[in-house]
Amino acid sequence: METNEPNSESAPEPNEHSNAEHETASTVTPASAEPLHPVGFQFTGQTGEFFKIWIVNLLLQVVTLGFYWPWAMVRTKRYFYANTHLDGHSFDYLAKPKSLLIGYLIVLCFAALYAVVGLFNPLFVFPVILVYLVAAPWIIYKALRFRARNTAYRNVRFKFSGLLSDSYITYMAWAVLVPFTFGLIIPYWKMKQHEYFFGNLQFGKTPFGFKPKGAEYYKYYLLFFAIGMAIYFVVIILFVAIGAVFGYSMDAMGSEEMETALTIGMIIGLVIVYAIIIAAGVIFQNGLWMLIFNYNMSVWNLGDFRFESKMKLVEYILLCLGNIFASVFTLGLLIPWAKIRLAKYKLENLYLLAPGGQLGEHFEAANEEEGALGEAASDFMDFDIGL
Amino acid sequence: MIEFEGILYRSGSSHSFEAKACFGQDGSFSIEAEGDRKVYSPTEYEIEPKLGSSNRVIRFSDGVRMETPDHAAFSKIEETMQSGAFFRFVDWMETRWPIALGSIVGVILFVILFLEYGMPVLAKYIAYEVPQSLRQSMSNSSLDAMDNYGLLEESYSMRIHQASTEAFDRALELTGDNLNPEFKYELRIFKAPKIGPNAFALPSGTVVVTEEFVDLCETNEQMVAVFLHEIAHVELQHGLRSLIQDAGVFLIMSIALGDLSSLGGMAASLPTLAIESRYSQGFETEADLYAGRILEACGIGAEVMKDILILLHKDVPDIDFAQFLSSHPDLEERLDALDSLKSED
Repeated sequence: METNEPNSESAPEPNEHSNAEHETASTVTPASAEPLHPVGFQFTGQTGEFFKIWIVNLLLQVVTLGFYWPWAMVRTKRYFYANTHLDGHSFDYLAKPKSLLIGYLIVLCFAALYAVVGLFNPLFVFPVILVYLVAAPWIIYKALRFRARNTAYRNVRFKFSGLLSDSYITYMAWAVLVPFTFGLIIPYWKMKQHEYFFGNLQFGKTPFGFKPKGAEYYKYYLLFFAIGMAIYFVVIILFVAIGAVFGYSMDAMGSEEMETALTIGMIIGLVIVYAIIIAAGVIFQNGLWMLIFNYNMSVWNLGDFRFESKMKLVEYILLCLGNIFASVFTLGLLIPWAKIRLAKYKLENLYLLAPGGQLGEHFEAANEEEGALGEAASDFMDFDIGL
Repeated sequence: MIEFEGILYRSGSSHSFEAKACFGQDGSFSIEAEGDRKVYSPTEYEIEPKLGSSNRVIRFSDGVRMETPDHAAFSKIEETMQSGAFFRFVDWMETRWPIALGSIVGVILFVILFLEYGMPVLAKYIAYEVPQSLRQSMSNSSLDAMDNYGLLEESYSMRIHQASTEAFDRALELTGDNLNPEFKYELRIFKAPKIGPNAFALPSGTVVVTEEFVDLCETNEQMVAVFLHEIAHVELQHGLRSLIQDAGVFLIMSIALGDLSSLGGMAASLPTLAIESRYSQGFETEADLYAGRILEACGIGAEVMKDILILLHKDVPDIDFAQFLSSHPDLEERLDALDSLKSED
């Protein structure tokens, strides 16, 4: 099947960085003599169509006090997967709502336990938190397996082959080190987490390869630490300024009109500060996520196939800011619009770099799988908590 | 016989083929691909529920998957089937704008009704079912917590102990036989310069009063009025009810806004606080009226309640624009509510 990727004629125009990656790719795997060409992902989800699905599922969840959640979750995920296409084939979300229900009930019981135990004595929540911390790596391991196994492309399932012991090393042993290193280890820890996920994924029988460098993670964290500090100082200065103006004017004027005007001014000032804090959070969380995601894609491979994500920092941050403010100001009504827009941007900037620009035989032969039937049994043992 | 064409994927391989399917009257599928032909009986396949305009998918028991954009063929096939009716109904709703708009109204209406009626009734029911031992340990732990924060100091003034105990006993006496025997009434007196003049009730029946409050009262009747207000909080279990209701608000908010990120959650904190304050203000008015009625009935009169409210209010002015976030109604509202008692008679 031919790619209908719009950029394929204008040839790959990768930045210097990923150019270098391509060279290493071809030297490491000399088998693929053919140059790599990008094959784009497409997303065909539509705002109007998804809005209707979203609101009906929201209504069903609200009237069932949340118990419809697994069914709503499956429909939403299926919608996004079925509308994600690569090379003319769509993705599949295979999870059954009943298997999600198990994880959902575990979370509910745990939350209820936490709440009730806290009523007796606030100290009682610590054992509950401890149990949660000990169980967390196991839960993450189970959820990663569940998600991978329930994702398929061309009738071939993904698989997560990471070990449970590695999950405990990644999510518990490293976590313990964080306070002792004053948090300096966090970027490296984040990389370890990504290694655990991206490096243990398989498509059918073909394992993905993931070779990130810690220095890159530190570079992005440092950049965002600087941006974060800058925003923090702006907010502090604004707070002090508003407080000073308010305090001074309170002393200076006594008339009631002035007081009302001042009160209104104060509210507007606070709303602005509130908005800036939200914006800062969006910039920090999403900007950092995006840069690291772009980088991760550049060091990820599936056999001879490589990946490239071409998201732009400013574009992505503006998109996220637009999404959050539009969602908040319409009291959530634009959430479906925001989700579709986000998925479209992420996927349409994501490329599979295929030898000769063809997924063809190569790709197919490499991904024979032992048959979907035997896998269903182990599906029962895994669950997802949907967080 | 219903026929359609699509793409077939064999089990465990990413190869795809053009395929033809034929749905027979006995509910079986006959699939033809690459000259191969196979028949699947009704127990050997599963049709994925329709979802928007995305391709229809059938999975066969031998791992074969077939996908087709032929929605018309599938709606004909599904007409003959019993199973999957629920998701056909869900899909019917999901593809209609009037239903979508109706759902918006439905969500808003349900949330309002739930918060206004459902949750309070439920919370009231649960609050009275809670065993007294749990109330006791909750009350003790919240007193301990205040103590740990250094808010409470022992009170050594005999005068204050005598005056407040007297007033408390009188308040209990005035309520007469109406008291629920389950609650264990007890007065605790503390010196609390950081809290100031205040009195509050804990779910078990423990009423806490500060020295500063006793000093503020001009007459014994004013103290009795406030104790009646606190007894009302215990009798009506306002403390537990608001705890349960707040948990309910949190639950419904996380369902309704579950799609927002943690930042969206931050934006949702203001409406959540507003709803919780609304509950709390309702309870305060209820307690004022409970006390007011008893004061009127025994001849002391609801005026003393108003007097002490005005006195208490001198220290904490209302902030007009933030009133909707306050745990207590503003002074005027409380006084008006007490005045309305007189016109009741």
